[in-house]
Amino acid sequence: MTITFYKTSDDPRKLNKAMQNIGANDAAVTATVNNTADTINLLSPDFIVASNNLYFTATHIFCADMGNRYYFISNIELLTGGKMSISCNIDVLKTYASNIINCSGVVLRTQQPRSKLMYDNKLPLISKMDVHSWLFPDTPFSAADGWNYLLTVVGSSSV
Amino acid sequence: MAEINTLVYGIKSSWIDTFEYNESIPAENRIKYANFGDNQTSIEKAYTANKLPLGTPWDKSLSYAALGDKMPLSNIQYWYGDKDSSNPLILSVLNQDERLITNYALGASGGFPAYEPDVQGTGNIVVEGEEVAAAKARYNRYTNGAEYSSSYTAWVNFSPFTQIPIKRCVLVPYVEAYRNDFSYGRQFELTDYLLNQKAEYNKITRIFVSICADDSTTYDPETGTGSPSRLFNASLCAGVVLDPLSYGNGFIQDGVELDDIFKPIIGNAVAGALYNKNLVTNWTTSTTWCVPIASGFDLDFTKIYALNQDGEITSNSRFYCAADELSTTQIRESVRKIVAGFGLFFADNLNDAQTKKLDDPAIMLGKLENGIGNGDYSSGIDNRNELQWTMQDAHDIDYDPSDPPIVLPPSVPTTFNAVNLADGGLKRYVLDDTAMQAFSDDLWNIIDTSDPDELIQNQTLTNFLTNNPLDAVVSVKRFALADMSQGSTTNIHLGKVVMSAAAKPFTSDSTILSCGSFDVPRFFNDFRDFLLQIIITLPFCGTLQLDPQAVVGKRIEIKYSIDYTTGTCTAWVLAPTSDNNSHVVIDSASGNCSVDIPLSGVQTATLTGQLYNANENLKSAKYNGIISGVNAAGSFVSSVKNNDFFGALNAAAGVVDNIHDISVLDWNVQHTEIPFKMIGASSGCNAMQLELTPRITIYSPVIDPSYNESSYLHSVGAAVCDATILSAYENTGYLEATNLELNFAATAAEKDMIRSLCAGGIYI
Repeated sequence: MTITFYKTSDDPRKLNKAMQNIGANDAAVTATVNNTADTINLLSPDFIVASNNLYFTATHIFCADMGNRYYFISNIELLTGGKMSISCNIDVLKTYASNIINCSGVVLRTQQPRSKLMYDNKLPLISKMDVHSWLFPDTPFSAADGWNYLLTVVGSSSV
Repeated sequence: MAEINTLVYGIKSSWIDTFEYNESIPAENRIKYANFGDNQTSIEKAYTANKLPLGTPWDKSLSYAALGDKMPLSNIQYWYGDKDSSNPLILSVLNQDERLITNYALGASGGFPAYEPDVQGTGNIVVEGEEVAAAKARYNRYTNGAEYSSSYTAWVNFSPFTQIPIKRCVLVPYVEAYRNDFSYGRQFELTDYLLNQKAEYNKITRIFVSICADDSTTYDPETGTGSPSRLFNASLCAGVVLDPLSYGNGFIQDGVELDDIFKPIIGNAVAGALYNKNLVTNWTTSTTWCVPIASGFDLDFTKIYALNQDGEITSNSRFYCAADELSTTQIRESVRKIVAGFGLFFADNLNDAQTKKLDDPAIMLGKLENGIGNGDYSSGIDNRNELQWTMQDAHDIDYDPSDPPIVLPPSVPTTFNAVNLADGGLKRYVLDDTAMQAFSDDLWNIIDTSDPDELIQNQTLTNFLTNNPLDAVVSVKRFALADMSQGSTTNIHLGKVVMSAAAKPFTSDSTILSCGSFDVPRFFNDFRDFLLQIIITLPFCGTLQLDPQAVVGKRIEIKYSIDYTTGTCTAWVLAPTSDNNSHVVIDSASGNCSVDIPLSGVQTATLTGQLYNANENLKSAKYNGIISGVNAAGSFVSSVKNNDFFGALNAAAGVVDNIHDISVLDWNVQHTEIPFKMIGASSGCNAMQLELTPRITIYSPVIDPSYNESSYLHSVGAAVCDATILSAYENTGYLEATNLELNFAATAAEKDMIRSLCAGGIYI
């Protein structure tokens, strides 16, 4: 069983991480797994390979024989006899990136909202309010003296 | 009668013929253009010759009559768009004209030759201190804050009419309408549109008038001999508003379409190739674009084609009036009223306008009241009864734009007004301080006799139905309003007495007055706009807290209805509905905007004025004294006869007492003060000391000062709720999603991991 080593600077939460080869001049680096005496866990495998310091630069392993899965390298342990034990955890986002992107679901938050009218309780609003004030453009009222006393009387028009 | 300003529009003998009239047509029977110099008629020349300087209101003397408050051009709305690249277009009404009268000029533009071919101006002119190319000057009418747009490059040739021989021209309306999906539009004569085209072209965008000028050498309107031949047709004759328009107000500078305001008589003002404005496209290119819309009668041009399911304005959107929601009669009558407002003869179709005699049933004539048109019209033989029939030219109409008639603002309908029904015998007067003092003084001079009989019979009961003139006073209130005058001064009628004090008659029971409108801003363009606390302070009525959902991003308006009898006022807050199709009351508060004035000052009253209450006592005493005296005297005689001395003494004392009582009361007549009545309560005037203009105060949420939107969005994202395929968000960055349907081959544990990760946030 052969594994291929990669490195990436992408956030572990990125769906389709950009993988780089770790060899000089972008050369692919592979290793033959030698786990004859041990079992291998599908989701958290430990791969025993011939020791190579180059592996310390890797962040990911791809294993075609284990269902074309990508794994995070979580630890590397040096063993006797010139071997290394490389502990891994499945990177489901990278492994199933092309499948996930075509799944349906409910998006609750996004970096590029088409509208920001949805109430967002994570926005850091502080316990303070700004105060703004404007007058309306017009008013019928006036305190000025003028013809504004209204006298109502009972009166006959036929005086 | 309007005298046309010859310094601006040229002297009458220099005015330019509009058509190639038959040589035998007298000069006074021809429609003529202004002459702005060098026999040029267009506004370009008016500007370059400095006859109508840019940035100043047009000379209004061209307005031979005015449009009333019901007419569309008196109520133009200015629609404003708020849009940027990431937000949907949001439309609101920026301003609305509410003129009681609107001055206007008719004229011709486009497709109709002036005397000299118009050419673009050359050289530069100075506009607001800035030198700009004259070719960019435009026939832009005055509006605050938006007099000139340097980005404007088109040229509009508008030539105003200075002479409109009323009986030698007939207007005809044209309807510009589109198919239901706005795929195609045309212009139709009104009759053709209603009979043949309405079903297919059911979205009306504008309505114009065309003017047909008579070149007949035989037709005599008076006798009806001969035949009219109004074949000359100045198509798309313009009705240009000459009064300041409200929609600049300092908000809009560039991008507005001022040039053709207002060539249509109703509808979307944006003209020429621009009438077919794609709202989204234009607001994308200019966020300050503004569309003037005029609606009126049954024609509402503020509907928007088309909105998506979220109520957002989509591309290919336009303003229109939905003809399919109106009956043929509604459209015909509305259009007729709108055309009638111009006070000229008109017909529903071109053939009638060109060939029918002026007293033919197919020819109508707009009625004018004091030179103001509000949509009433006559037709057929009745046209001969209108004043215009006696006139040679439209400018003979008794209307002077420099001294227009006083028009009262429309009041509430009085059909079911209880006050109006009850106060048939009431009279109201408006007084100022001086008149109030004169009235108060004169009150004490109403009673000018000390003779009790004369006083009671002829001066109190007869005049006032009671013994107290003050009973004829219902109320005196000082209103917190500016000048309430409605007419000239006249003597006050109190009861049946005509006082020497004078005041101005006041005929209204109630009124509705506007405080204008305010555009509630969107501070953030996100959900925080709906966390605003919006407080509105209403003079005399207190405060209201408005629901942000109802007002944010919208134009709210405050109107006061005022009851002049009680002084109570109710402030109404109005806001548009979500579809902008109607303006509804969203809240109200009531109070009192008057102060009762007690009629006091008794101590300074004249002596004769103090008589009348004591008079009644005196007269009563005289009557009772005579009766009881007679009785007492009879009793005295009877007692003597019966040797009843005690009885005789008592009876004699009764006669003496009666005489004494009358003397006392008579003294009282001279010395007792009238019990003066307090008219109304002495109400407080605290509210008058406060701010008298409505105020809106908005409390807006504050975000942490260290907040950085791009960082926040990258790390946390913004809230949405979008059930979709995740690929819709591909390459958008941070995303949280739940309820994923993972229909691909992976272990259950892996799928649980995927769901958990997506719920916690991933970068996609």
